[in-house]
Amino acid sequence: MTDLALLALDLGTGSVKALIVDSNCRVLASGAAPYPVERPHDGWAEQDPDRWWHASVEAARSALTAAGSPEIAAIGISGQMHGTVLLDAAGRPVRPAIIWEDRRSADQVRSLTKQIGADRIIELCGSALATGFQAATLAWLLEHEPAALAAARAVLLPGDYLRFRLTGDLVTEPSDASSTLLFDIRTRNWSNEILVAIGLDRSLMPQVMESTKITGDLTSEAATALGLPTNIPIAGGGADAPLAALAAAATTSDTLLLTISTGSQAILPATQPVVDPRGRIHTWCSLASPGSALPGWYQMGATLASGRALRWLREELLANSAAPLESSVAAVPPGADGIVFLPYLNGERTPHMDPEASGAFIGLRAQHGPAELSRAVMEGAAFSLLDAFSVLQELGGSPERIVLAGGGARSRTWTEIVASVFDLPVDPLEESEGSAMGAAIVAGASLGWFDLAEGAARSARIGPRIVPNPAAVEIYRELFPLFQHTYRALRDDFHRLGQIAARARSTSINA
Amino acid sequence: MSGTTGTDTLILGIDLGTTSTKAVAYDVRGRMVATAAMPTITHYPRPLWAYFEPDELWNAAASAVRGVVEQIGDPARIESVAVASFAEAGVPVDANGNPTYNTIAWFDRRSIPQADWLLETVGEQRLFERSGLALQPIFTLCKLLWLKENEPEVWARTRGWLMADSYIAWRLGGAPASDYSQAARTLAFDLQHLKWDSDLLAQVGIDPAIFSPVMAAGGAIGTVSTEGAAATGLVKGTVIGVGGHDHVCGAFAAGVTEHGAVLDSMGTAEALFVALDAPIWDPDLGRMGYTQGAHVAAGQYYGFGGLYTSGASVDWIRNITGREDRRALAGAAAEIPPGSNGATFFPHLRLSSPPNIDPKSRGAFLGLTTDIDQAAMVRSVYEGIAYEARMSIEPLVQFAGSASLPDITVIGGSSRNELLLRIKASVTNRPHHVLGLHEATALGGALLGGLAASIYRDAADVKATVEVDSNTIEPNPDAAAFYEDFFQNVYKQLYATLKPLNHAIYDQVVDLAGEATGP
Repeated sequence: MTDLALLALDLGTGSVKALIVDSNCRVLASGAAPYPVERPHDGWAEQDPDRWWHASVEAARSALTAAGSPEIAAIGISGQMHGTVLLDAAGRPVRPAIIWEDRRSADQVRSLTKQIGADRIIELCGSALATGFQAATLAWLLEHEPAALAAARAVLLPGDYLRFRLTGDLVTEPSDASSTLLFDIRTRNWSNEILVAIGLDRSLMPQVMESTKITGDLTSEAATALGLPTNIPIAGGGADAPLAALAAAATTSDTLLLTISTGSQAILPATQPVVDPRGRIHTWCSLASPGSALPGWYQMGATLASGRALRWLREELLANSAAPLESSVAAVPPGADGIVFLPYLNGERTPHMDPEASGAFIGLRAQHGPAELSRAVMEGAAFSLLDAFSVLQELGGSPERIVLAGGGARSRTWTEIVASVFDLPVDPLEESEGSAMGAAIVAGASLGWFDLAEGAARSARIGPRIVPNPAAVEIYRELFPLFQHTYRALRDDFHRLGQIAARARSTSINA
Repeated sequence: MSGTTGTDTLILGIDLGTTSTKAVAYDVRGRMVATAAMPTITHYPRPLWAYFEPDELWNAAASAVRGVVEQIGDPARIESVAVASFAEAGVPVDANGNPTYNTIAWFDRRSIPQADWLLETVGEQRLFERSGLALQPIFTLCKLLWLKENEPEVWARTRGWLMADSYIAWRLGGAPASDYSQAARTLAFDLQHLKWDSDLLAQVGIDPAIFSPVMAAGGAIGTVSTEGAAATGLVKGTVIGVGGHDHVCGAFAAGVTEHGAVLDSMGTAEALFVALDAPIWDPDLGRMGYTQGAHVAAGQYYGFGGLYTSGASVDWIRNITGREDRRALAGAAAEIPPGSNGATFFPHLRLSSPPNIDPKSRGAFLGLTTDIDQAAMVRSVYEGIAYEARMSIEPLVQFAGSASLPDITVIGGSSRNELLLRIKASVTNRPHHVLGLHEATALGGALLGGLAASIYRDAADVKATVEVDSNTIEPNPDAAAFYEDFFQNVYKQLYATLKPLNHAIYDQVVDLAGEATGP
């Protein structure tokens, strides 16, 4: 068994990652291949499913070669959530995939929410409806591209499209299916009520299997493409967010996973499907089957710009040349000398669900430079996560520790800020393969090599614990209400600014 | 211009400023012929305190003049001299005209208790009714009260008080005199009747005789003495004119003298100046943070507002971007459409501006998205400065009784920033006339000396004679429509929106300062 390896394919937004691990979840090799996001109109985001496949083949082949072509026992899939692929009778995409970032369906979100009722949607599906979610995208397609939908024989999530290319099966699993908002999180199956309300034929939806089950075997065509033998089993896999939590060993309700990367996420495993009636968080099916040892759901709040905000600051405003060293950022006292940063550079999800929010620096003084601005961005991102977490707290969550993942965990200063902002000990996750590792763990579990908890324990490498600094905790405790108030105070201005900026752009005035 | 004036005739202006003292010689058309500068030495003995040594002020002025004389070669060509200087500051002198104390700097804050005392005993209303000023600790009267209270021995020997410009004129050989523009900054001057407020001075126990006689700027107060000539290289007998307050002299040089005319003097800070033909007696003027005074142009007055961080904001964003090349940065910003793709800058990086005076106010960037790049941020800074200037000038023009803004005359170092000027023209929807004036303040002083020497008959003759290049920047109608909408619907409300946040930040930063050093 020790010679056998697992292959994971992690279909992200900008690239696909192929990861090969051994039975102890040690990384043997990885490969990656990029693909673009097409933006044919303002607010649209599409990808070519064929390119996903070809990039997956390229990434897998390079990883397999690098690992010395080990024998692959199973393949796991991690998918970017929410997106929509339409397949015709021949199994070809009817049109480009409409992915999670797409914002064309705002009208459909409004009308469906009104029609079905926000409360009902949340009760059934664990979340409010948002643009880019498959339910909203399909409603848009019904209205604007009825021919495309008429030509479709199946509707898949991006990760499930990859599975289709691997096995020829039309199958999904609960964690990714939850993210469509067509899925009943309690029955762990498609919601007839929602499908009927939108006017979708249930036969379009793939079969649901549990995440840790084997859903099919590699076809000969796929095997040839990948340079692998046929009949390798493909596990259910899952959505990238819960898979990343699994890889971080954040599998119980006493552990809050915070992932600070481009955007950030707060994930808390939940033993019951407790939903937020105000729709500020998602309560979705976890990877664990009902009746297993691990919580069957997880609650997730997402913020849209954290690492992205810091990168924006450095690349756009500071233009890199002036980017301060970590030590000079650390030297700025907590509170960033009175600068409050709202990180809503892409609007915000949790807790505001406000796509028109924008970012702001307030409290600026002439003596402030790159170090103060950088610290303010780190603190603003941490505050926005605390804002998201406070919703989880409202619903009864009370974790005792934080596992911090993503690029944020690589910054000592950011980690310290998070510990003091949350007033919880932080265990930083060392270099992690994230959702790709999660997919590998699920693949291993599907073979019965270990259960999810054991696989997670094998994979996660935790660095030295960072504890809150009492003086900083005190400062952040006072600043957080101000951070929250700043958004409320500026909300109307954000909306006006957005409208005015859009108008100015569309009229292209020179002066 | 006087018929006897030759083409060789030069007029000399001295600009006694906070950081440097300049002497500049011009021909009668106002064209610069020679210039020299010396640093102004400022002493900072403790927090809030700053002073000049009178001898050091005189030496700086005399050396600068000598520098000009050496460049010209023939000092006899210089027919007149007058001084423009900072206001509020002066030199206390004894019966022989020797300084009894140093010159407390105009911006020195030591006299806050005296200002509080004045507010209590005299009252805001009474002070405003005569002086037209809202009380500030920097006014001359507060400095005098401080001296009286804290240096009784000095005070006992002090017989006179020469404003900074008249001290230099006196050292040159002129009679002690204070022009209206300088007198109006003492808080002890009756702005309506242009005389010392002897009732107030009696009430606070100061002999009005301590002040020099008031005279209109441009009056003759004598000629350069033997000592003055020896120190400066000027010819003995050169006519000395009554000078005035520096920025008012600059407005005079720029021809901003007629009621309602607006001057925008753009530098690190931005001064907004409206010429008036009568003082404004609405106390809201002062409450909103505006000030006023007497013009150096005969019979005229002015209202004054402005921004503390105008060029300073541009310098700030440039430092943050780490980009040295001003032109490249402005060039990229010029490619961004009006509205800076939504980025909005609020320029209270140091202090707020009238009409929103608020020491707790702070700067802000709003409307940030990942689409916004460095060029958009830079443009938003320009736009924020332009909006803030409009915020500050509009109420002032309304106080002056005008329904709308006039064309705006522009001087100062930042007026070379063409994109900024274009944005300002469109934000106000008014043509901006950028004057090619070299050292407007010194020129104003020189022209006042020329009046004293009868080189010019009057202010109208000055205006007719002086040649100034002017480059007019017109508003772009499309951009102006956009900016009008944004100004009315967003920018005007920004201060009120940010105020509670900035006050909370201020209170918290003051509370927390120094409490913790680690995260």
